[in-house]
Amino acid sequence: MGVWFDAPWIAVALPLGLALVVGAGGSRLAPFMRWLAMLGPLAVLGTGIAHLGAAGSGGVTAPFVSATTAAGSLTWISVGDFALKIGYAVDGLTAVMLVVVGFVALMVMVFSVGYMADDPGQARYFALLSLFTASMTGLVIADGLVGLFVFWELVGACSYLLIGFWFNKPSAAAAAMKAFIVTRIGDVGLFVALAILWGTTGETSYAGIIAALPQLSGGLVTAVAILLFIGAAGKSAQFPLHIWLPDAMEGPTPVSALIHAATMVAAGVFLVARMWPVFAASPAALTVVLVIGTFTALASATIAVGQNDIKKVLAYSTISQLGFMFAALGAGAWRAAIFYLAAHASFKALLFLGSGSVIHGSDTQDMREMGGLAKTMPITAFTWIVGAAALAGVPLFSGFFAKDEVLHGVMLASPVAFVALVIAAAFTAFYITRATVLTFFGSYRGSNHPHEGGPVMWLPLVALAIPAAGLGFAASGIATTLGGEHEALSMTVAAISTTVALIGIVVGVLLYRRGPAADTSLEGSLGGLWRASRAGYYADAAAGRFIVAPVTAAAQGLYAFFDRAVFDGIVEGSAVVSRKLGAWFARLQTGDGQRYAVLMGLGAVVLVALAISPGALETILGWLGR
Amino acid sequence: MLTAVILTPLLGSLIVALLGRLSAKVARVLALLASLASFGVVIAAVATSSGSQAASGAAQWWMLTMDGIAAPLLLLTGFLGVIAVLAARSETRSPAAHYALLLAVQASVSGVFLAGNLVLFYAFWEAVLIPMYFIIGIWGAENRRHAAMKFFIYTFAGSALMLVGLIIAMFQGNAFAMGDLLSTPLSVGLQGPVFWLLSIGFLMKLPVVGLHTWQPDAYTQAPTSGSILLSGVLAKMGAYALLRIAIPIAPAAYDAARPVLVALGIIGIIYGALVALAQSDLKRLIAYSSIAHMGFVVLAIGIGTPLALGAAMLVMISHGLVAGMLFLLAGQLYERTGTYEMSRLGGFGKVLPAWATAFTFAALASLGLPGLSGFPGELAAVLESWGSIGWWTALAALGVVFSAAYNLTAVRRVNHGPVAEEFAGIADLGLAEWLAVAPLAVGIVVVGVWPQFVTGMAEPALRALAAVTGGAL
Amino acid sequence: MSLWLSLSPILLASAGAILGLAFDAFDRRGLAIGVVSAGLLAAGVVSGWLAIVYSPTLINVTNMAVGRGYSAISAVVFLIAAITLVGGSKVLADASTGGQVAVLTALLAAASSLMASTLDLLIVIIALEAIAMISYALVSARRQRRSDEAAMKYFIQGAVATGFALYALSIIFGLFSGSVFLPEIAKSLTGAGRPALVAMALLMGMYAFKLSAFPFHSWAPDAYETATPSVTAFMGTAPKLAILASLMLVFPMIGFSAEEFATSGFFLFALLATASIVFGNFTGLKQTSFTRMLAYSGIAQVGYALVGAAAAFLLPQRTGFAVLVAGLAYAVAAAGAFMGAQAVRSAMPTWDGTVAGLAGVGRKRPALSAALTVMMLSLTGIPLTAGFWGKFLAFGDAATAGHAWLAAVGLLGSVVSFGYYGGVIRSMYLEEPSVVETDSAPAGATPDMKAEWATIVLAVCVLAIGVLPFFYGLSFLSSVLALF
Repeated sequence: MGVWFDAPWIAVALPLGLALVVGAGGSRLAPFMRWLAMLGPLAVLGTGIAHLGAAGSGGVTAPFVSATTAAGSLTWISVGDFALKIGYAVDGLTAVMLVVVGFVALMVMVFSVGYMADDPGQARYFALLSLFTASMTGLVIADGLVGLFVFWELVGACSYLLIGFWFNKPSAAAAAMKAFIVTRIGDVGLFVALAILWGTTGETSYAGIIAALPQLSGGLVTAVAILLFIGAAGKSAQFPLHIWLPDAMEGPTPVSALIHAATMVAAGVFLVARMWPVFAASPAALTVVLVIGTFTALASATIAVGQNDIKKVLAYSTISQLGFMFAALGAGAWRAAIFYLAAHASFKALLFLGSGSVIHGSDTQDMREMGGLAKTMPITAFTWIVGAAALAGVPLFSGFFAKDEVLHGVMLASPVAFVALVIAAAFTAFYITRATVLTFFGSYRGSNHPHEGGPVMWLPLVALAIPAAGLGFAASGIATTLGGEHEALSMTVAAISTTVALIGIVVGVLLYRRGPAADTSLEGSLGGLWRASRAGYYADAAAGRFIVAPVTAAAQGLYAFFDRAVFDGIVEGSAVVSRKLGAWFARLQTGDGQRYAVLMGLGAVVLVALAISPGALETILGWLGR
Repeated sequence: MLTAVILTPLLGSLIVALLGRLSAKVARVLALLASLASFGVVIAAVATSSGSQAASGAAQWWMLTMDGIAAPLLLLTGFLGVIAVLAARSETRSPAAHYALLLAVQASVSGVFLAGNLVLFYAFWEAVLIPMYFIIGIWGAENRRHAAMKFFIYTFAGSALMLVGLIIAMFQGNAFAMGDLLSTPLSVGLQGPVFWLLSIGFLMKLPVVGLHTWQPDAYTQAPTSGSILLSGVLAKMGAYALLRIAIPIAPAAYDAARPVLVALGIIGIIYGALVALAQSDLKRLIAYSSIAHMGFVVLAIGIGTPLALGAAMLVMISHGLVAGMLFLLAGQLYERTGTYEMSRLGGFGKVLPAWATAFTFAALASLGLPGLSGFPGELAAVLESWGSIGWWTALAALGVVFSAAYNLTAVRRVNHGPVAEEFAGIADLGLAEWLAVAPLAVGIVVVGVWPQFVTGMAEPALRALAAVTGGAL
Repeated sequence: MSLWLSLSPILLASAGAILGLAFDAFDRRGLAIGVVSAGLLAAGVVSGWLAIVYSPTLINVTNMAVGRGYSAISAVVFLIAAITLVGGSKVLADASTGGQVAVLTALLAAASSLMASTLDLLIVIIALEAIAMISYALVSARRQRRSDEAAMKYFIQGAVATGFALYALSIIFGLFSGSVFLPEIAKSLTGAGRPALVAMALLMGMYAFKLSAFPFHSWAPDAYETATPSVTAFMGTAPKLAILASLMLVFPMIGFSAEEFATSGFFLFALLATASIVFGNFTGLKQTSFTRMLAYSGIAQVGYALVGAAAAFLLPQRTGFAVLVAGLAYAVAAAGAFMGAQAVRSAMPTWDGTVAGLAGVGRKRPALSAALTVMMLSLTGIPLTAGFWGKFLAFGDAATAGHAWLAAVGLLGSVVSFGYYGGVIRSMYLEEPSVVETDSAPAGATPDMKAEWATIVLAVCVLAIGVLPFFYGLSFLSSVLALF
């Protein structure tokens, strides 16, 4: 325990090294290497638990790096008196994140052994998972924004490489690129925020920035906070930067579970929590966070309703749930957001792995071709239902407690947002019920032979089901770790959320117990609204039309007009002009001896004329020089 | 010692030219040995220099000095010299002459970085053009002759203006030895014209937008080895000269010119990336990406704080490695497919897994992924921007989105998607090719993880330089 | 130093010429050429020795100065004459007029040498006339209709120029000084005002004609193109160096560099320089013939040297060093380029004389092509060649004088010049020879090794002048080349 505690950087270095080893091992050694790779998440988990233990024994008392349990840094670039440092620091928030990352990563790796068993690219796959684990760990233990930014980008790259894992599929290749570029648009915000903080405070460490915060003007603090949020929104798929996440489902499903549900997409939430004092200092920024979070939560919950691809349902669900977390952050309840993050990580990872199991067993992602899988895949069905219940907010499941804290926080901040989130919660219960019913109940509508995977696939489901169900009872522990007081369950909120959850579930069951035909009737009654929901409210089309197309056109125009016609035109044109000029001068050379003599005579006259008018010369010379 | 840095590749060049006629293999081995020896001599020279300024040969005008700004660039030159020789191994047309010219380029570029006075500097600066002209013109692609002439005449035009500046500085301002420039700047009246005359030549070499159109042609038409040296090393001469000559000689004019440099830098970042995005030819795409990267260098020089100057150094070194690697890989692909046209390529992740991995790696390095060399420099440049240019920083930062766009587009069009039928059966990288690719990848990681390797070397020189720069715009 | 010693180079060259004439009369052309060459070589060696050993000495009897710059210029002139004569001896031996050409070459060299060292205005004009006359003869020695025509035009224009010179002389001699000895004239011209300025302008016109500066250049392209290349290699190059030397001797000594003439002098030369640079370079771009291109480029090259001459009017220490280096660089490189043309012609009898026709020479005659490349780079002004120093110093003088714009004009001109100089390199190395030409290359084409070696020797000189100053400085050159 001691080493894990004192040197948390090992949790970065080990999986990083493993990534190299596993990758170098190639496909022949992959069957062994994939097990070796699991040492990485284990180390992360160990580090997290070690520090959680410290929290229990009073080692971590405050939610901020001012009271870190282990810290160190080294100078990365220094010129003169200016040094960029990179270091690590662990506190309660970090410890919680480490446990989440380590646990989910471990489960996903185990699951992947089964899920990816036949894939020829396993070595690459496990190497990338290891690299991701290292990067995600680095992201959470960094002691400042530079370190965070480094790993922030690296998780993005892992995400890119894993979404495009099956790169021969054009849709996967496109999705990978889209994910990277859209999140990078958010990163510009983070980047500029970093530049502002460095330029004004000369600090990049969290502790340093927070200590220097009073030097900044109010407007600048708001700007920094909003820019940080733009970065977070990109990573965490908040409107309008959410469009990459549904496409990201092109990656292998365990990857979706790990990166695009549990850990990386939560990094934005983590960032806001980490930089909390900056946000706390700017009510305007908090409002922005609240509005965007609430809007995203509600809008994507309604989109999830219209999806037929099981992973798309979960993807929009993830966007929506992240919206809940941001709403909590915007409302000031950052501990609730982190609690929800942890709970969501467990049940959404569970749901994704469950969907992976379903896809693996039934060879399709389209829920219309599923149905009745509870019979053939009982373990998957059971654990899925646990996850679904947690997501829907069924009382006593983890999601119930976490959502309660979130809604309570938002209620105190903004009644309007509260109402919106309650409606979103109702939709949440509805769409997950729809998915559950369509997938596991009724009669089987596909043509394959669905079957349960081996133990490597169902054991992780079971393991994840435990926190998904019971994490709510650890609420007070988590609150303490995060340096806060545990609040008692708000009964008002609990009553409201339980009611809407039940309404959503009941409506879902009633509508879909006879199969997907209900979609047709919903479309009949809702018309364009339904189609809009199914199309994600045309966000992709809008982005294509208003961003991608203009940029492409600008690029083409810049190249064709400025680069070729203007700049190169001048360059090539000057050669032509020179030759023209040459031809023009050459006309003096007529071959006529008399003309030559005249030319000479004229030359002499000019020389003499100029020579005897020094006044004129001096004027001209005055223009030319001296 | 410093003379040896220039003489080793030069002697190597002569030996290869004479003995290399025996057979292609002899030429190849000799050239490799010569380039390795040159690299070794550079390492030894850098290692033995005391950090501030090493000087040798004060006799008359043969005066060499090496300061912290030159040292990393010399290492880069020696390193890429080896890579360029390795990249040329499949050259069948007069290989001896080809190798000899590559080594001659290396010698003359080293001379530029080592020149201890302005005359010698100019001599080497122009000397670079000649072997490069032949490399492009003889071993280049279809349009090589035009590209070679264009390359020569337009960079020569730049250096003609630069020579006017140097002549004014020398004959009217008595500037001569590099080491004295910082301590004895020109009179204020001369600074403006001298700075701009010099800078036009320097910026053309980088190149900045507007003075750049020789570059896509030259980079694209040159053979792989030539492209590696052009982008990796020659482009750095301009930035080096800005730092080493233009700023010290005319600090006041530099100070006045900083907004212009910043603007040129930002325009380069955005323009280069957008135009790269519009390319369908892989090599042209890489060529335009160089403009974007060098934009960061110009931006950082315009900002001029010590850390920004360090950033400029980092971006230069990084770009040398990354563009070198991209051009090398593009060349290897061309040897297999005979085309750079991306619409004909695709799916090479499956066909050429090793090559494709390297290419993706290089593209990620180019888009500034942390851990790889492109990141620290661009990070430091943008971080330092806020203090000088405020919200304009956002435009520079926006460059990272576009750079992601064109790099990943290239990866997607070449590596991803269905396998291009006509190239389904081609072979992956051989051992010899790996030997050229791998060192670049290692270099990229080393600079990415340990940027202080570069900035530490440059620090004393940058600190001295920053004494005349720095501060808000 | 004795009178005879000082005159010995000219005497040696003349002796060689007379002997050569005798041998030629008995149809021993080869021997004639050999003797003349030997005489020139001896003259060159003695001049060189004089330049190194003696500081400038005035020989009162002849109003001649020898030692240092005066002799150095002569040495260069004689040596280039010797090299081009030896290099061209194979062609000359085959031509009926070969012996006469050799003799005329020696006389031209002697006249040039005299020109570079005389301090007597009358002798200056006589030497100039001698140079002109011999040149007409050399041009027409080709015995072709075109060369006769060129010589004729040259002669007519020469007459006009001589008119300028005589008018200038009469103003100076008749109105003011009553002396033709340069240092004497200087005293009398102080405060002379407008008539002196007219004289200066006319004298400039005459020099401009001999140097083929724009607009006094028209004779040069025809003359240089039609004469045998090896003849042009001397006729079109080294005498210009001598004339430039005379220019830098006469104008300061005559007092034209005094304050009252300085502005006009600077401006007129700057004007001539600019016009020559612009005209020569742009017109050069349009040329297809190699030698004609060299002729036009020569106009521009004179322009570069005149930049230095212009600046000299404004500078307190008027050594003319820059002008002489520019002239030297031009003379050696251009001589090499014309010699190269001779060598190419012998190696490829089917060569049509165009630049494009040089395609493939790089492969066929590598050493010759390398030498020609060196010439082209030097003429462009690329460092590590002689041409760089010429421009560097001349333009440097312009900058020192406060007229950097003149340097800019010159340098931009040299950028344009690479359009045609580079075209030669491009043809030799980058272009593939057309298939027909390679196939039909006559088996009997024997490369003229003498011409080739002459080219290579000149190339080595160009490189040596270009590289050595980096190690030994320019002081060696300046101690030898400076006139004062």
